[in-house]
Amino acid sequence: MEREIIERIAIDCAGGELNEDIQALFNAYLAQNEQGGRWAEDMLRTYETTEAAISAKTRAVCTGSVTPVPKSTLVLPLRHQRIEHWPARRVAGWAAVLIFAAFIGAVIGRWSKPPVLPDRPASVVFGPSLKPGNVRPILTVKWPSYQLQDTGGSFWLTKAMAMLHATPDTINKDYVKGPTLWDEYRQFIKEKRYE
Amino acid sequence: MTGEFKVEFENFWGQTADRVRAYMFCACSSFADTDDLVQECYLRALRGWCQFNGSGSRQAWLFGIARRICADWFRYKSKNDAVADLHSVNVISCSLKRSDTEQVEAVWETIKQLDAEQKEVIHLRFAAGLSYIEIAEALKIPIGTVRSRLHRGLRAVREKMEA
Repeated sequence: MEREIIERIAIDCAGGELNEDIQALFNAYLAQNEQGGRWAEDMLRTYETTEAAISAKTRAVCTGSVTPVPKSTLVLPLRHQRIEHWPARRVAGWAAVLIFAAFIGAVIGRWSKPPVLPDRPASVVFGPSLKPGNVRPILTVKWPSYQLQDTGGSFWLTKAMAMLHATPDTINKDYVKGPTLWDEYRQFIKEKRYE
Repeated sequence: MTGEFKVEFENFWGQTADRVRAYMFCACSSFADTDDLVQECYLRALRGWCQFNGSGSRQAWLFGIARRICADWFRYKSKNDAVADLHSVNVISCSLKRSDTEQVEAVWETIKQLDAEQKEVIHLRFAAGLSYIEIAEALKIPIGTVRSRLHRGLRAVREKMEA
């Protein structure tokens, strides 16, 4: 047999990869063939030396230094996971219900009829006095020139428009009332201070 | 974590952790990186535990993961120009006699200079203690190729020792 074949069989033999019959046959061959025996012996020695060297190198990392990964850091496959904290699960359920309700509300709102807005003049003039003749205005509010049909049919934009239309009512009331006694007194104090 | 799965995984850990560490250390030659690589290996094994289809051995499957992690590590290290932690390698040898230490170092250096394929088979054989069949499964190569690579690697070691 060639040296390479003998060496390969010797490696298999050292690694326990041969069955007993083949191993016995190989040993019998080596006993009859002195040269083949030397080659096999060399390879066996190499095998053992390599094994010993790697074992010596890795001994320090293997002895007593293995610590399991903390269980809290493990991310299990989903089917092995079990939610043990029931409050957390309940909160998650309520959150899901709320999200679903919000979604349904948005869908219904989207397809509902847009609000009907009251007719308004193009602008409103506010003055300090309601007496005729005192005509100098202090504030003119112009309503937004765009109308509902200009919003492109967007539900939420229509809502926003409706709010814009509703807001000047409050301004109107405030300005029509005029300054209160307290406001006039504060203004008086300020002017005195600057004098 | 169900009880059955927990016991199964912990048993698997106990049976294989030392060998995975040895294999990782052979691959990277660094204590610190070995810890990280072993942890990453078991985390990946845990995540993919259910994906193991039962063909072949679980160990071979684990070392297949370990091998891919090592490959990723080498890619990462080559990008960052890191050098292996050689100090940690020397520390191990201090407990041996001088002649043994020299021989161990000589063999270790020879193995490090082998082709990546031969080196991988030698590490899986001697550090991880896998059989030919398991090495073939882990590397997804025929058993004959495992035999050839192991023989060529050991022949290179023998020639180096004789020189």
